Amino acid sequence: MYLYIDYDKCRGCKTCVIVCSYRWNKVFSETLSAICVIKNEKKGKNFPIVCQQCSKPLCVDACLSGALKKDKQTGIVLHFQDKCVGCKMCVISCPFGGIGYVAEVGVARKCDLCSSFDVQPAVAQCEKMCPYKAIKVITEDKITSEIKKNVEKFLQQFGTYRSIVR
Amino acid sequence: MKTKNKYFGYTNKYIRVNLTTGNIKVLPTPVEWQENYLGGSGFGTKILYDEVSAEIDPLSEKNKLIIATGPLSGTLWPSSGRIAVISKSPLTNIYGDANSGGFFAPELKFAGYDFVVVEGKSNHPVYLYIEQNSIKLLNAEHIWGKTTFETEEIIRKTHNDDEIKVLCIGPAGENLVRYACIMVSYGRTASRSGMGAVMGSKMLKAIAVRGYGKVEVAHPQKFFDTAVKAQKLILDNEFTEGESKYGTPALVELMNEVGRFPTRNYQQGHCDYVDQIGSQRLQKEFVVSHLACYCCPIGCDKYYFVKKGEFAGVDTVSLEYETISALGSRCDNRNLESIIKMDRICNELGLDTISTGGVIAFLMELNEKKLISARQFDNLDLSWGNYDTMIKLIEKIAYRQGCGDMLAEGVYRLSKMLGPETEYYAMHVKGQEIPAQDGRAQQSMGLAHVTSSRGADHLKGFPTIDETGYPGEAIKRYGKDKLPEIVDGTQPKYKPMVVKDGEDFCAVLDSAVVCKFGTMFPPALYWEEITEGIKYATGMEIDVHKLKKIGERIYNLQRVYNIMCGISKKDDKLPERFIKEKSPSKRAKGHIVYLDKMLPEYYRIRNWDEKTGYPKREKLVELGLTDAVKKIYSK
Repeated sequence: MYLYIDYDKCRGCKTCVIVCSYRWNKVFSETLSAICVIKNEKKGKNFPIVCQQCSKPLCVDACLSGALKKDKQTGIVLHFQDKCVGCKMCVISCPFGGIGYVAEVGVARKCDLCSSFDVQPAVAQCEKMCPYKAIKVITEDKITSEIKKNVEKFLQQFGTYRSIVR
Repeated sequence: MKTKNKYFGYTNKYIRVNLTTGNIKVLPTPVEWQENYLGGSGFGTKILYDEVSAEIDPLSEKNKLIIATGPLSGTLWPSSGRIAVISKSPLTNIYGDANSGGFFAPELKFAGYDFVVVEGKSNHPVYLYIEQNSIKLLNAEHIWGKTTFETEEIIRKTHNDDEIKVLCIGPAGENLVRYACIMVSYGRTASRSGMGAVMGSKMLKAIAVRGYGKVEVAHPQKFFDTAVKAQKLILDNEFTEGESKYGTPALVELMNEVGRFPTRNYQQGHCDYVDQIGSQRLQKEFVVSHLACYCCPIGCDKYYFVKKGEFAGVDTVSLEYETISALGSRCDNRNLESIIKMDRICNELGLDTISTGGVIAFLMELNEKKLISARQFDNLDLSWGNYDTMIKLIEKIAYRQGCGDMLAEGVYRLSKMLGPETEYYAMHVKGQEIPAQDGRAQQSMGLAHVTSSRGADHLKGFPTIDETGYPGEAIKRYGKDKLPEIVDGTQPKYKPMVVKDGEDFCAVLDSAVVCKFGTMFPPALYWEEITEGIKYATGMEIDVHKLKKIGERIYNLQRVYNIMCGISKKDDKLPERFIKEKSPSKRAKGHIVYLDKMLPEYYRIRNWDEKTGYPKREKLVELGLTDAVKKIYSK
């Protein structure tokens, strides 16, 4: 499972960013969120960035404290905050900028599709709140060639736009 | 929940910058202000009233500029990205404000500040840079003279951070054009009342902000549930889809149909080329992508690009209904590409498109009536619809070149310069150009233009239920017994009550600070929902009644300030055209604005004196504005 974002539908309102910070800390903030939206206001483009729950996650390899683990059943890359030492190796290793670092707490932060959120059953809050239905939780078998093309198109536009480390 | 004497939803700190001395102070946000004025334009009004004397020249160093957020800014509340800018207006010489969407307000909150007060005047160009605890005045000599787009880009490059939000002026603001605007992150603008000229007079080129913090609310779970519910109410409203797809240009077709689409300087309320400049064509040929402001579920913003023709390659962000009317039909210009081009130029140079179009339309009508000669205006061909001339005029205005120096003063002053025979065609109220509504087709708007605290304006009262007629919403808000008159745009009945309620509600919205979309149109959220949001965000003990009082207090204090500036009943008037000339258009055919019926009733509902237009003593005392009684009654 991972968050599929339809970039054509995204209008860059950052509702996902803000609801994500609420889910973690019960406050509203961009820096406490596991998702971020890069904006090019001049050309009217928006590019949300979030963990892709990779099948072979580089962050798990890079993590030396054992704080990251890929759940075999769900495919979600889980982050155990109590084990995290805040070394940022995972942040550096991620090619998508999918992991952030929360300076306030001194640990990494990444999307777990709200599986550890205290409201159960876990529903990805960003998917629920996105007013433009641009975010969807999908399983790997639902990845169509159209989805692949869509993602590629946007990666080309933004891939080298600038480095994505928060 | 009020712990240690502070409310949540606020950062409880604000910045005071004195540009004359370079002194920067961080001060606590007064609790008394939060309780009585909420935030945003409420704070701005209070500061103007307390600190800016009514006698001062708005372009002198004694004026102050307030940039303010509110308790809902930076939260999950739908459409809570707006920033309010307040100052004494150089266009109207009375209370002035403007607000803009985008992401500036949340960023300022995340940086840790509720608002910024700018005082004094620098002796060289500067910009204010705010990054968490670091607040600096930096040299802007290298950016002075640059367009708003270049300014934002240079500031972001200088600090090597594309997430910086910039609020800045272009050449128009620097050259003290009386209706210069403030641009916010490329496409958004705080347009009206000439706030850009105030920045220019202070030699303040920009305010840049970057924040990494957070906004905390008093009751997280309750607030979250309320915000989710509010978002759903907006998304479920029947008018949201259209607004979301077409943005404000959707109004071009709708308003033309009811005769409320001002054409040729308000000679009529419709044009016969609506298919050429309307939203259908815009959508089909020019919209590239849809955009939204902070946490907004409507997303009326669009990115437009011209693919072919004379203006191929021109792009712009958020072309609004107002601009299409001002630079389109009001000047009888039917070339949509040229409107896109002019919108872009106005944004770059930092001009309010409503007033700019108002000035040009005024000139074109004077030319038609042979009241001016081309020689006075740099030998330009001022015939209706000549967009080449319009583009040239816009640049002349921004740089005050040639005749642009005169035009930069706005319709009211320009008419004074050109002679009393031009006055009839000067479409303004209290010195501010009238926006894109013809009050003859919508009586409530006719009244709202007059009673707006910042001169002619549609967003202070923002009555919408009699636009094309929304009976469902009218029943919900005002009761079934008031149909059908209340939704009939040509009937004056009930309109004063609608406008008064709208003004109080919008005063709260401008102070909270949230957008009027989702609240006034589509009419989804109303007093109850906003009260809940504010209650759970701040922890204040507040109910609908108390919030209504706050709205009323803010609006009355704006009126008091205007009275101190010399405004009274004599100024609450429309251009004669709306009172004498019957509209020739559609539904409005044969109607005038029935101001003589509505205004006295409006005064009565407000408990303002019908002879003077002053709020009565007992009203001011009731609102806790005892001090104001002395100020206006001992003059």
